[in-house]
Amino acid sequence: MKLRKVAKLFRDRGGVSAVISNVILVGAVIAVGFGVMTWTYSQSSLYQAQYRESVSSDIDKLRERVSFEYVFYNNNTKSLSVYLMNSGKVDNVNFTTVYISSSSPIVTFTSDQFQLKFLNPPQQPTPDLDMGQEGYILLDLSSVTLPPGKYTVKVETRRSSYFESIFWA
Amino acid sequence: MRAYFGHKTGLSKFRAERKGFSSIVGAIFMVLIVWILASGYFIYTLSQNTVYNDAIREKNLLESNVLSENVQVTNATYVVNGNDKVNVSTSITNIGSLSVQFTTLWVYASNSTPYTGYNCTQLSNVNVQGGATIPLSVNMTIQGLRLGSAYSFASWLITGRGNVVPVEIAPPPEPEHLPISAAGFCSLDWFYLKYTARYNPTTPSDAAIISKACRYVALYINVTNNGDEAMTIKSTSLIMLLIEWQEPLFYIVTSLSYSGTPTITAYNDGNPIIIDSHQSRILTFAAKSTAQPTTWAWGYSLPVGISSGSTPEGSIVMTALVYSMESEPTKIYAQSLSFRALVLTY
Repeated sequence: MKLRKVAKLFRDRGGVSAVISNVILVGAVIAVGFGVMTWTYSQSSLYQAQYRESVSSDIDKLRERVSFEYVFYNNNTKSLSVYLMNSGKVDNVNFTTVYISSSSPIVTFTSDQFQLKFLNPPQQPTPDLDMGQEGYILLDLSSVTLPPGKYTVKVETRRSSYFESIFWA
Repeated sequence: MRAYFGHKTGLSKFRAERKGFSSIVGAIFMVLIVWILASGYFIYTLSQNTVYNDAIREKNLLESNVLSENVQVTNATYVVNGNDKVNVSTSITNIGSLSVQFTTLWVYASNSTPYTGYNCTQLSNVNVQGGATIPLSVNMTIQGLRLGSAYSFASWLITGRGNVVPVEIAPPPEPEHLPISAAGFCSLDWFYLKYTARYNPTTPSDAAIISKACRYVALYINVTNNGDEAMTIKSTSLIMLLIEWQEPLFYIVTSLSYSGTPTITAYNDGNPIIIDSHQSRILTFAAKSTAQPTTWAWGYSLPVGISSGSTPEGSIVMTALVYSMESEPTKIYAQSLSFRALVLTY
């Protein structure tokens, strides 16, 4: 009796195409769904990495602090010595630009025009100041005339922070 | 057919009608994708914002500490003890509450020849605790100095927090007594608004900046009786901090103790503080109210009105002194004095 029913079921082909089309459709939806989900997840991870980097960069900028220990203008040699200390809470403070100005800009030095030197040279020479490190920049001002008066020296770091002090010529 | 399906209900009907099943699967995926996106975005953004806020709090604390450094470097002497050599001796007094580390000493020398020279030297282990005084003697090399010649010297110290502290030749200035008075018999010493807290500072320290992290805070003022007769202070005397929207009150107390659980000895009008004519007395304020004279106004938690946020808050200090004079004990004088301000920071 049962065998007869099973045989009848195999003979009856009605509705098979509908089942196959449904299976194909559901399979396609699942495949596309997984694909979209994976892509979305990867995009989300990418966004998270970018956002983390951006926040980390902002935090490093917040923690950056540079103190001017002494700024000395040598009238004979027309050179300016700028002594700095990294008094912030982040390593690798790298100076990209130094601006000299009074009421208006006078001269700008980019990083290829000066070199950061250290009061206590580190064992591994680096082009930047770590936390608590003290260094100095020597600037040649012989190309400009500085009448006696008050001037501003401003340093810009790689993280786009600015720190300034004054000196007298 | 309709009749056949007409008998199907609920789950069996759903199983029978497979049309739209793929739409449901698609919808589930869409919901999953949206959920992953939204939860990932919000939770991650929130965590990063927390990290950023922590960094801002740390930065504010750093700036606050930099501003709180208060050091006097005085009694400097410069002795040229050889060619290119100078000895610098000085005395460092940390009048702030934070300990200060000195990293570098700079010396600048000049004379009329004209000569200018300068140099710096790294200092090691020069740490001065709050309130402490230490001597400092350093031998330095400055190229061009000649034994027997006269020079003018200037020097300054660099602290680990990046402050530049000038070294003074003169002895420390005596704090000038600057009386603040208004209509009334009392005057206050402008320099004397101090505070103590449970762990630090436990001895009265200047209250220009008070950390909100402090617990069990008491305020102290120096009151002078300018009248010609003795003055009896009443228990309704108080100090009010004027902060936006709220004004925490600190009522007068007889004494307080920080040993073990901090305790207040309530002010007792039956055994009052009496300030003799033309005499001064330190008064202590710490109680929440006259009804709760042993409860701390600023105990384990911040008083209402002081936000727990990291943004520094300025506050005007108002003093209400209630007293009677000896000749007329029943006549009450209530004098209000605003003499100082303070900053509450984290």
